[in-house]
Amino acid sequence: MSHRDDIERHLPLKAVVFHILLALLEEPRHGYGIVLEVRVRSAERIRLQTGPLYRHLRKLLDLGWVEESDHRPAEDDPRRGAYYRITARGRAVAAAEATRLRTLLAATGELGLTSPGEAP
Amino acid sequence: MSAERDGLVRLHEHLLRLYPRAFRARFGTGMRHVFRQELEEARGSGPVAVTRLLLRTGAQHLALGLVERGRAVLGRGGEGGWGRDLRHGLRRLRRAPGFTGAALVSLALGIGGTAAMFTLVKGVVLNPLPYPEADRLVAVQHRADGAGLPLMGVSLGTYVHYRELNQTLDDITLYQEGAVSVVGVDSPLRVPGVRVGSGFFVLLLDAPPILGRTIAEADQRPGAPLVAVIGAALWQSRFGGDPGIIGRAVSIDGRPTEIVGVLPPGFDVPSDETQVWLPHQIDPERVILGGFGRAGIARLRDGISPERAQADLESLVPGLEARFNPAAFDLLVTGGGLTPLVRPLKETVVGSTRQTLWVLLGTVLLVLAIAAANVANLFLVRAESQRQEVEIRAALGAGRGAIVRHHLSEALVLGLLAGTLGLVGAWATVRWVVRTGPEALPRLHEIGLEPLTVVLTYGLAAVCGLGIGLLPLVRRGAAAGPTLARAGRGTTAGLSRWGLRNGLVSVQVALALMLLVGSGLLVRTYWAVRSVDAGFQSGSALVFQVGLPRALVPDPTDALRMQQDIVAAVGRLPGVEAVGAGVCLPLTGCRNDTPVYADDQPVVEGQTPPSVDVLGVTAGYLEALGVPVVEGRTFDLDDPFRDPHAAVISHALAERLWPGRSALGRRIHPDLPHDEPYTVVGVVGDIRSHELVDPPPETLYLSFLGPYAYSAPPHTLGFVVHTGVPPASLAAAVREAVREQAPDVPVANLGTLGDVMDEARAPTAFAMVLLSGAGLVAVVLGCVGIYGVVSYTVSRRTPEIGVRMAMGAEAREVRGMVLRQASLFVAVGLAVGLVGAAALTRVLDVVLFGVEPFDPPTFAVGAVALGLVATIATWIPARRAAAVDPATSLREGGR
Repeated sequence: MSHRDDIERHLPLKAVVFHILLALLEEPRHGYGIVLEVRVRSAERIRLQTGPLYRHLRKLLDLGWVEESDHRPAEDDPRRGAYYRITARGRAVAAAEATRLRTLLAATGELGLTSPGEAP
Repeated sequence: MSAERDGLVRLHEHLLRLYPRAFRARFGTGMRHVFRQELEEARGSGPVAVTRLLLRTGAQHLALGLVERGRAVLGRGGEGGWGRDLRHGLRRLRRAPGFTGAALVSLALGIGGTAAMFTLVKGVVLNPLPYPEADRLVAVQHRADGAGLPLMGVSLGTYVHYRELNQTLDDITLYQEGAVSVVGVDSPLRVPGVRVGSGFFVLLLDAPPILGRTIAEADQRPGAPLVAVIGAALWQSRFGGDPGIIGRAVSIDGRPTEIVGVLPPGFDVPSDETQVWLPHQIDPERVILGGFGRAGIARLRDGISPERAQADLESLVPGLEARFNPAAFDLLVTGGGLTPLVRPLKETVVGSTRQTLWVLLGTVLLVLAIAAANVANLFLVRAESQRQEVEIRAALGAGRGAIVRHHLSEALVLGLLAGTLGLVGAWATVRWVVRTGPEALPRLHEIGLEPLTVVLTYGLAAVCGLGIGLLPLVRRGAAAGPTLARAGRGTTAGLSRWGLRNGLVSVQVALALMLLVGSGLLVRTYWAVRSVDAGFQSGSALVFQVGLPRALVPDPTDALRMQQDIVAAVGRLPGVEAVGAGVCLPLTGCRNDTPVYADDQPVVEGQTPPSVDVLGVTAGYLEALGVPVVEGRTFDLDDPFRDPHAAVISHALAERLWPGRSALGRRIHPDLPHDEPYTVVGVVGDIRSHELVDPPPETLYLSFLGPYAYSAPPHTLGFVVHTGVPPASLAAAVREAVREQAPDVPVANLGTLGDVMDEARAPTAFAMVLLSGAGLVAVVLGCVGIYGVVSYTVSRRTPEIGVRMAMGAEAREVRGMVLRQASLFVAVGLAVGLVGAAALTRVLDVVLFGVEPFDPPTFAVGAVALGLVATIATWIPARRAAAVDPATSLREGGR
């Protein structure tokens, strides 16, 4: 099984999973940081809750798309729990999902459903 | 507020314990942090947001915590994991078709039976009635114990009174069942019809009529044009589904009536045979207090309990005095103690079927328990034989989760397959039950397989699968530790090693015995009902009813003459030995309870004597029924002229009024409108005319042509024809004879008296067939279980037996040894089963007749029979053991 197939197998990603990966692209974040970032990026459409967030994190950690980060900001409070960052493999999966979405979007443009380059 | 001392945070802390320890160690800090932040936000937006957050978080932790825990125990999912194990399970099952078949059939029987029975219970007992706001519908009834009337419906008088003055009901309506003659279609027909009061359709009809309208308030006024609503079935069968039927004029009971509506199919009040609904035209100023033969239905106001409504109606009873005839008030209220009764409508519809169905559901659950024990045993045996494979896996590093999955996967696959098979079986069974339509079951056409049943069935299947699959693990746990070293060549294990399996067999035997005793009691009940002496001869009698519409034959004298003519015409048919007619046929639910005074018995002031069934009959009626004469004579053809005040009484009535003395010549005084005394000319045998399982009612027979008939001429009569030839062969001739006398009058319910008896016995037969079926399945499953375990034990002990035989033991001794050991756990099962049966059969009391719940012969026969069958089941493997060739067995060893 080629590396590419291996990634394809996971597509399409659940919207929440995709958003968690996106939230970690910029910088490592702790759990609540992810919650806030996902909220902003999804325009409040996705509001992660404690249980589901950490179940998704557990899965992403098991898959090796996300790992715990040693990097902590100077003014950090240990009560915030661990920080997480995206791995190279996580990036690759997120990129593949983005490509999939772009292809899909292009197709809708050709069919006249959306104008090319239209803002979402 | 300090976060650590915050109650909600502490609560969340408890919720986190739902997750496995490792998960908490890894994510606990972060989870607490996220929750605290969310809580801050929610508090900012108010208590509603906090509640929502708590509910959602709690539910999520509960679900996800359990999922994570499952994962922690069973190992990782995803790749390989469960999917692979289930596939392996299926493959392993396919490799052992004998084992799989036996297990599958056992489990499917149990699960399917449970699903089918649950469907019946759900459809009949649990589901709400199919009427709008059915949970608020109540039946309104009355009792007047002082007048010997324990249960009756409502009268027009009470209906009008309550409707005007109650404080607790949305509305109250009433209806009166009967049969109507419809003329104006291809051939005159007589169908079940019903007269209904205002509000009937508002209370009970959920969907609009297919065509036209229902009965309106205006149709109920006296003098309004007559209208009728018909059922979809009648519309289809007799009017060809004509869409232009609305406005069509027909003659109903001889009066011109316009059809104004067609009801949707399935509307079944008061029964699914009712096809004509007519308005009850009521003049509130002229109704009378008496006549409680109508059924009352009401809807409670929101938030009112039946008890409150009953208290409300009770408070209205004294007000009846000002409104109605004082004599009627004295009789019913002052003397009779008239009390309204308000009960949920469902209770009155479902009635005692409820208990029968629950008993049957319990029964199939027992069968399921036996089946599950059986399959568990098969799995234990199988686990034993797979021991080496599993231990090799463990030695190669398979984790605990993998081993658990290995065991569970097979059982789960089996459970789900059995669930599917059982569902199909349940579906077929339910269809069969609905199609054969036992009289015993109300609400039949409402029964169907529902999504909930499907979900529950699969849930049950999964639970069975898990339980069965986990049992070998319990044993594994007990015998933990690496055992590969001594697993190579089999050694004979002692009895203790099979303790769990033997225990399961004992349980099976015990459960099977309980079922066997239960079904035995029902078989005895059925025979008791079959052999009950009804007091009349049903073997060679034909019965039918003829109703002469008042409008067709307005003059009572003409009606009486026509009825006499029919009796005479039928009597002239060849093969007819006796014929007569009466106002009520036996076992049709028709009765006419009336207080009866004996002139020589003192009457206590203000007290009404007990009610007696008073029936007007023609000469020949008692002869046609074959009721024996105890004393005196029955009616003869001259009585109407020579002795119109002749009365014949039943033996039970004679014994109560004049115990040990002759009743002949005594004067008797039924409380009928015409108020005339009668003289007893004969005493006849008792007949069970109300219910086969009830003691025969006291009955007073009056000459049909005497003052009785002239005071209240009955327009519908039941005829009994005693024949010297097979009764059914005369049906056509009887129809023809009636047609000659009364051309436009249909013959209704023509059939043999035997059919009527069968119908009366149907509920018992239904329960017996189902319970006996369950008992039989239980015994077969139990025996398969015993056979399996003994066979396995014998095969494991083959080397030992070989040694014994090599040392000179005889075949007989070996057989005896195996039998002795097996009979030990069978005996334990029988003993436990007897105790269990004694506890269980008390529940059966409600469906039993003619036999006590604790009936020693039934218990003894059940135990002996099961013991015998169990012995046969052990005998076969025991014989095989005795046929062991010592040399071969030692060479092969125990695998």
